Amino acid sequence: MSTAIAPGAVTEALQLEMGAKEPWPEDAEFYQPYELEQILLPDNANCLSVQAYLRMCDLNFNLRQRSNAEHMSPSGKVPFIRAGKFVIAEMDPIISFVEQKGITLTEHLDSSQKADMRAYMSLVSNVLGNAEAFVSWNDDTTLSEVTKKRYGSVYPWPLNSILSWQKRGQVMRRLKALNWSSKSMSDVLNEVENCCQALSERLDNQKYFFNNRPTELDAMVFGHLFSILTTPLPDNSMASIVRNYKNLLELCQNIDKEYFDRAHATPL
Amino acid sequence: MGNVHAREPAPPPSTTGAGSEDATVSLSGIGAQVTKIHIDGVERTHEDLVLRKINPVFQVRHFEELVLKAHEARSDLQDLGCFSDVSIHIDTAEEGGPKDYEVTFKVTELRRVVGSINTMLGNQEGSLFTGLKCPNLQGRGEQFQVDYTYGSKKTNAFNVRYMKPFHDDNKTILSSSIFQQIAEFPPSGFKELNRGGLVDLSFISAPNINHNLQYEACWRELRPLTKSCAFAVREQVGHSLKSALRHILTVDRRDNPVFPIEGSLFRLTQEYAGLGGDVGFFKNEVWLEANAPIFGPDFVLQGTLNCGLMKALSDGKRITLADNFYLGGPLNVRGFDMRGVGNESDGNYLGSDMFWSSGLHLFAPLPFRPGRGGFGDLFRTHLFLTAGNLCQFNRNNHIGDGNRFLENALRNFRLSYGLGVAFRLGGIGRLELNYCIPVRCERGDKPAPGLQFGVGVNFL
Repeated sequence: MSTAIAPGAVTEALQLEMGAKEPWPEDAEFYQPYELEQILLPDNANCLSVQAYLRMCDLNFNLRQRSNAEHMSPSGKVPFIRAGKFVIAEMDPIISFVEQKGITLTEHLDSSQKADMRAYMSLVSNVLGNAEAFVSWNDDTTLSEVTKKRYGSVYPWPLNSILSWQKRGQVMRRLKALNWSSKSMSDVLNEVENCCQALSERLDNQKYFFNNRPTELDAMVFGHLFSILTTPLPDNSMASIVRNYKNLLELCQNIDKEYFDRAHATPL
Repeated sequence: MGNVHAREPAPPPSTTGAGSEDATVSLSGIGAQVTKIHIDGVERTHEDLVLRKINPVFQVRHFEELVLKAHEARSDLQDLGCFSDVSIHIDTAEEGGPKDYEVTFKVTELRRVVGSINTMLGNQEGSLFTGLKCPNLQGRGEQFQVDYTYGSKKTNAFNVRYMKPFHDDNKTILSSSIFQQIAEFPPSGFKELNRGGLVDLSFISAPNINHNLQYEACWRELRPLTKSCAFAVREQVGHSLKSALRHILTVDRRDNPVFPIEGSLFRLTQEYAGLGGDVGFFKNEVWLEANAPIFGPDFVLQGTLNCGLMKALSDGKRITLADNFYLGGPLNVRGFDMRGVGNESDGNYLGSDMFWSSGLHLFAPLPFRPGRGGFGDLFRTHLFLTAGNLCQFNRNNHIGDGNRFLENALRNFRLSYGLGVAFRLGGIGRLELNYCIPVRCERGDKPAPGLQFGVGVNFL
């Protein structure tokens, strides 16, 4: 009897290093859960962010929807991409993978702008990301009317309830570690308001956040705000807050029109 | 409950002669009747259960029959699962005629609770097994058993089982269990976490013909074993629920389960998954084994055939890697790595929905018979020839189209031969060390020529 020996971390890192020099493959694939009946607001925001980023980089990919996308992902989170032999999950690793191929959206930024951009990106993922998770998994009405139904839709009874319950435990533990679980809905909405305020002030009346050219921050803001605006929830107060910032709405519409060339732009 | 005393209501009239005048005494010539049976040591076992087993002893006519019936009753009592030891004492009756005998069964009941702790090192992991068994729980041979395994890599497994025998003519046994198991399959690049429940009804419909009717509900979670597993494996990971009915028919006419000299075994396993859940298939597997002694009882020729076919259900339910058939390894087609035959993707073996494998063995004792009559009898040498194929059951090629079906099954089959030593482990298992030579293999296979070591229960 024999056991396959798993390639060690060193080999893996080496492979990544070597493979990264190859050009972006034509048959790259982008994996996410089913958009229509399954995906949840926080996941949708992340998937849309990465999609927008890849489109801004002018990289081609085939969109694949899988009910088990979350489990297929090496990090357990969506989205992830498959490029040749590589499987890479989540926004930051995907950005560094793309940059290794010499493709970047930030060459026009000086170092202080880069630092600025990173700060805003972490603001968006911390505040908006957590707020989306909070609304989806901690608000009782949303949990029972939307989240559980959608999350469990791809599983048979009784796995649908068990897995939703398990997932809720995971999300709540993470929110608790970040001190979000003790917040009330109005605290969360306040945070969202402050975040939008900061973003809106930074954007002012430019087309994009930096030098009128798109960066990953634009992709990320688009992903989150567009998802918040277009996801129907029992409590749509988050969407109403975002709607108060006209310049952010315009940013979303611009990116939607320019990079997603949908037949008719979604009215926000 | 104390002792059980039973007395035959009316002694039957004697029909045999009083004795024989020959020097050799024929036991069947000695008339005997049992007037009393004592049973010592019964505490919590129910009386009716014991009475049913010893009743035939009252029916004896002569002494030889008495001895035989008493032995039968003894082995019946031991099979109840209530006693650890049963001994017989036959004596003449204190009061009564010369033909009256008293029989005493001295039984020792099993302890109420039996516990065990074992450790195991292997598979790059250390494990601790703990087990707790309550035999003869309610006095009718019921058994309650809890096993728990703690692995150093957080692979906790448990099995809780309750078994109830009915002690009827069909030897009906009902058992139910709930379990959590973890299994890793390095050749296939995934690991599997199973949680579920199983209800099993086992009975015989004729001597040697055993049936198992089972229902199993199992929540399975597949995970990639390493980051570098094949994408084809990754595509199938996640949760699934199997809800299945199974029928296992076993006709075992062998004289020994490990190293039989003669007799045959037939086992048909049929599984229908898809009563609820999201996994659906109809799976059939056949196991055939025939043994025959040649040139006396020392040399045994054994032929085996194992094949399986799985059909997907057309209602959108799926089949996962955990359901597929796999081939290759020291237990079936020797000379190949575990699961190392066919349908490979980036170094991981994905299995298939159809397979066959067959083996031909010539078993012989160790050369020069060292340790004859003792330790040496646990060993056998064997020459073997194994063959098999893992194929895609093409849904367009119906079984009805016999020629094409056969062609599909035989195309590119694998073949290996070799010789080795087999060792009997306990009453059921076997350990083999073989030198194997793979003869026919295909691209993507993992042939393993040379020494191969295997341990298991079902060997092809």
